[in-house]
Amino acid sequence: MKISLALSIVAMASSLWGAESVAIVKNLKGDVLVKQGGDYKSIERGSYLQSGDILQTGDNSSVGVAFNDGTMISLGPKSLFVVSQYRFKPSANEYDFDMTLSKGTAAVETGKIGKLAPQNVSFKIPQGSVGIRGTKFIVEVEE
Amino acid sequence: MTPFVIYAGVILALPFIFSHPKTTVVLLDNNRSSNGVIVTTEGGSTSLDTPYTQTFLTTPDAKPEAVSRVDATEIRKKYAQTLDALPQPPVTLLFYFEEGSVQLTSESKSQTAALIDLIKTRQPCFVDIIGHTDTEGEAKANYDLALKRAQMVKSFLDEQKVEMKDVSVVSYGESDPLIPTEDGVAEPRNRRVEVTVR
Repeated sequence: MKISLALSIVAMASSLWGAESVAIVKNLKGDVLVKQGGDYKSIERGSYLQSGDILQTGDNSSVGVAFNDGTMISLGPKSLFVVSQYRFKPSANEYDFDMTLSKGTAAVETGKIGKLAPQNVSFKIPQGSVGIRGTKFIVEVEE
Repeated sequence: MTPFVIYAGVILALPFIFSHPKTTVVLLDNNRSSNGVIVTTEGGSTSLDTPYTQTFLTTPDAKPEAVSRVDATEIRKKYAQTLDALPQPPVTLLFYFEEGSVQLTSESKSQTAALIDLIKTRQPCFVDIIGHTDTEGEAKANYDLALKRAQMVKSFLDEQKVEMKDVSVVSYGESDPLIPTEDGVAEPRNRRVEVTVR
């Protein structure tokens, strides 16, 4: 009972968070899916992303996303990428960027969060993490 | 026939049985002075400070492998699909104003076409408009003037009917000068509107 109550509060909180768009899809090729809460659905150029979204690209597919703080991220074919937590609120001095590349390839060019609060940026990979200092880099996770 | 099938089976199974997933991290060139990453596992950390250097990771408990140089052209080719999808970074243009007014300087007026072109090439895009003043006059009046300057740019973009996903209009008044001055100083370079296209 307690657990289910706690879970429903978490679910409510995350759905409130999720209502805000944190990024926009700038470039897209082939099959790209997003899991926004429930099932995977396909996205297109101009689609919005929310904190908590999971992106998946198919064979010969790629996607390029621009986050609100100016961080640019692209994914190559057969990638799985999670935007675990994203918060960019300069007026409240609140910054959070927590992401995970589980497989495939990602190119990253950091934006204002990387400049203003690099300690709050966490790019996770299966073996560990990449710490960011005003940076452009590429990561490939082989299966 | 049969031996071939078995042989093929063994080869295919090899990656699953013997090798761990491997991750490559390559630092790219961001054309800025601050550029670097620290790659960390439970086994230790390695930093990449020079563009086009890389490290490999095998398991969570192994330290990232020694840093090696890579050829920029090769990386460009190997990761072409990913890099081609990377959006261009945001661009900020500055527009300057006549003293105490919402009139663009003639030089800035001639640059409005470049702003329209930029927005057209960055679709789908967002535009952030921030108005500023110099420190001459009251802070409250400057807040209002900076807001009017920003709104003027917004109306201009609306008139041009360029497509934008969203536009934000903000006033920083005299609080964020490009050239820091004492209070009460007329400084043309602080009388500006910053337009960021992202």
